[in-house]
This record gives sequence, structure tokens and C-alpha cells, in this order.
Amino acid sequence: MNASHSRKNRGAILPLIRATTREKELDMGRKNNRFKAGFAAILVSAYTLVGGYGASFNFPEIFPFFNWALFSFPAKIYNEWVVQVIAIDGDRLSEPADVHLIDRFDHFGAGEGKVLREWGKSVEQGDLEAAQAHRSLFENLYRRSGAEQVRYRLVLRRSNPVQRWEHGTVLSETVEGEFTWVKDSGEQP
Amino acid sequence: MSAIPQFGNWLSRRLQGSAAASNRRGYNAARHTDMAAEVWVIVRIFYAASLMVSFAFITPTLWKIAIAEPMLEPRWPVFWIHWVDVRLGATVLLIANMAAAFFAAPLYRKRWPRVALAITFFLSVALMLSRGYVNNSFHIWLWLTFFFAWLPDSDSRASLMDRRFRYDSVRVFVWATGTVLLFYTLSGIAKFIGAVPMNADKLSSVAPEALAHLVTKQLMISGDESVFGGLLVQLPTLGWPVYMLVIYIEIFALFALFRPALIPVFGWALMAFHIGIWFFMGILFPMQPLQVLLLLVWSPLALRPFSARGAIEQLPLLGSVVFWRRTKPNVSLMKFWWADEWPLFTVIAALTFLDVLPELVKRLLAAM
Repeated sequence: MNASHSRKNRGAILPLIRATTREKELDMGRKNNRFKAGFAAILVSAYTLVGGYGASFNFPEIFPFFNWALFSFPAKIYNEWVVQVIAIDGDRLSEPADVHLIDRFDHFGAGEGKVLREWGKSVEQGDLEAAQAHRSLFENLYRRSGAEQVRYRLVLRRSNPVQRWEHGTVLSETVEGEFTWVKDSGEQP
Repeated sequence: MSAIPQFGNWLSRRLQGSAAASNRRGYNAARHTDMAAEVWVIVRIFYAASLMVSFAFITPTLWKIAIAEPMLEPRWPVFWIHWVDVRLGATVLLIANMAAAFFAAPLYRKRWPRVALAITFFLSVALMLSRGYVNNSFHIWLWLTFFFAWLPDSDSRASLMDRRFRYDSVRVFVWATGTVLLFYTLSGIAKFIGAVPMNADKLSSVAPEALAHLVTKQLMISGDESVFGGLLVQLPTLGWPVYMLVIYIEIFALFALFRPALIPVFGWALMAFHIGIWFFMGILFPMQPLQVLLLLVWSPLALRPFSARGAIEQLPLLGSVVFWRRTKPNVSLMKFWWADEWPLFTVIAALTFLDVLPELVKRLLAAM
């Protein structure tokens, strides 16, 4: 094979190879894109379904999936489960105070409210085992929180949020039980 | 080729809408190199911020668990915590997470510290959420650590010359952005579902005073005051356009991925939304504005240069009206609108159905 023949061939074949490779790449790219789009659709559906499952069958959600139902259901009448502290270390408060408003305790933000909500829900449904479990979870949040013994009550409070915020109006308060948490020990009900 | 991927591909093209499709650019190697380089700048900032997040939020919380040793209801990834001492388990985890963040920030180009951070962050958040409640504050960051762990190893900027490297970098970023936008869309869908009150105690999410009720309920729970809370109670209807705008932005967030001129617009809006939550409700989301800034406002996927007119034309539902006047005024608006946007409605309807399906099954089972 002489040099000129080789150059001639290269001139003819290389563009063809380039074109074929480009065509193959494009074809692979198209197939790959289709695969990814399908895969994405399936993942999006699966996440939504699992998140929805967590929201419906509520507690616990399947970590790390989340239902993302945040500030979605405004309440005209808000049923709020609260813990009111009656006495701390034997000293009775002038009137029962919401635990999350007492400065001497560490607080746990929205999480605390969620535990209380679940506790209240199990009380409503008469599920004593679940109620005890949630009570223990709640008490454990506070057990190291600067008091030896705290007498408290679980209350269901009904109110219109706007009216309550403006005028302090509460529609009703129902006491569901009185309990005591003791520092570093799990008292049984 | 199965039917589902073909359908997915076809739907993703349809979701772009005619305005977006008309702005579509062809493959451009220089632009692709810029995109990949920008991805790595964002990844660098993300891991620097992860060091701060781990040190400022994760470590103190895990230490609180370690010293308080509360009764835990372990999430599945930390099922083993009852087999070891809670104090020991939480302490080991916080050290491991801190070490991973410590190495991931300077060595973000290496995959191993990124993988280590993804694993330890996952376990740490699982332990933090084992105290009887779920909190969404860390979910997005968690999913981002997971996605960014898939980025390829890179030794230097020379890697950008490699087409495969650029492609993989941008692809991972697309997945991460899409997932985060999906979360916002799911949040919007939940608000959309809330438009139908479940019982007499509930208020429709589209009622004029809905935001005032949400805000005051939150302030009642926290016992705090907020900057605009009082104003909203005085003038409840003032909150209506704000809340409607939030629902619009959230519900259509996912579609910004298919309409690149919208990505920074939605980024600005979501950043304002997260900051606004503190102004209205007093709830602080310190990481979320940064997430949105990195993923959306600075997104390498956004159409450049930014055009306000292009962005308006790509707005879901509303943009079609503008685009219709510019392109096909002879076709009736409704016909054009439906032809342009029905895939978007279909996706929203499908996601709404999937979101409520477990609830429907639950109610059906209860009735039986």
C-alpha cells in the first residue's frame, strides 16, 4: 500500500466513521433519554404514593419520604391537644399553664405539638397502648428539663384561631387526664 | 422499548409548552462546559454549607439526644440504636457525621467524602427524627447529599474537557433540581386538596381568610408574635393573594424544570416564600433560602440570557394566554390553552390521585 492510496482511503472512510459514530451516539442518546424520562415518571409516582401513604396512615412516616402537606388545611375550629402544667416540684402554679409557654423547660417546637396530637388522637380512639406510648414519648422530651417532679394535665382545647389570637376566646377546654412526670424515671399510668 | 419510557419522553416534551419549545436551544459544547463548571461551583458551596449545617444543627441535636438518652421510637435506618447504648450510638454518629462534613467541604471533588456525608447525614437525621415526630427541615438537604454523592470523581478543572464528565455532572444536577421541585409541587397539591374542607371544623384553603387562620393557629402553637401576623388578623383578605400566589408557585414548581426561563423566576419566588414564612408565621427555615438560591436562582439549567418576556410566556396556565396572542390569535383562546397545557393538567391530576389514593384505600378499608 503506497502513501497516496492510504491518504485517499483515509479521506473517504473517516467522515463515514464520524457520521456512523455520531448517528450511534444520537440513537443511544435518544434511547437513554427515553429511559430516563420513564424512570423519572416512575420515581415521581412512587415518591408521591409513599408520601401520601405516610400522610394517610400517618405515624410514623416512611423515612426519608415525606408527604409535604404543610399549612394546607386551615382550621375554622382548631382542636388543640395541650399539656397544662399544674405544679412543679410540689409548688402549685396560680393557674395551669401551657407547657410550651413555660420558659424553664427546653422546648421542641413543632415536634412537640405532633407528639401531643398523636397522644390525643389515641385517647380519642380509646387506644390505651398507643396513648401510653405517646405519653412516654412526650414525657421523655421533658424529663431532663429542669424539674424533679411535674404534675400536669392533658387538655383538649377548641377555639377559632383568629378570635383566640385577637381576644383570647376559647370555645371549650376538656381535661382528659392528670399525670406526673418524674425526672429520669418512667412512671406508669 | 417499553411503552412507559416512551410515554415519559413524549410527556416531558409536551410539558415544555409551545413557548418553551420555541425557545429551545440546540446542543452547544461551550454552553455545556459552562453548565458543568457552574454545577461544580454550586456543589462546592453546598459542601461548605453542609459543614455549617452539620456543625450548627446536626451535632448539637445529636449531642442533646446523647446526654438526655430519651426513649426513642427509632426510624428504620437506626433500628440498631436499641442494641447499643443510646449515648454511645448518638455520640459515634455525631462524630462520624462531623468528620464526613469536615472532609467533604474541602475535598468535595472526591466521591468518597460525599458518599460518607450522604450516609452519615441520612443516619443522623433518622436518629433526630426518632423522638416521635417527623419534621421536614432536613429532608431537602438530605436528598441533595444523596444526589451529589453520585457526581463523578474529579481531579481538577481539566475534567471539564471530558464530555462524559460534563454530561454526568449536569445530569446529577438535573435530578437533584427535579426532586426538590417535586417536593414543592407535592406541597402545592396538598394545598390544592385542602380547597375542599374535610369537615365542618376546616376552612377551604382558597377562602379569603385562610392564611389568617393558618398564621394565627401557628402563632398560637408557638406562643410567638410575627412581623406581619397582627396585620393579617386586622386585614385577613390581604393574605388571600399572597396565599394564592404561594399555591400557584408551589403547585407548578416541577414544571419549571421543563421551562428553563422559569427556573430563576421560581427560585426568587420560593426564596421570598421561605423568608416570608418567618415574617408571617415566625417559623425559621434557615437552610431553605440557600437551597433555593443554589438550585434555582443560580441554576446552570436556566435559559441565558434571561428574558422577562420569555419567562412570562412560559408561566404555566398564564403564559399560554400571552403566547397565544403573539402566535395564533386566530385560534380560540380556550382551544389554544387546552392544546398547550393539557399535559400539565394531566400530571397534576395524576399526582393528586396518587397523593390521595392511600387515604381513599384507608377509608374504603374502614368502611368494609
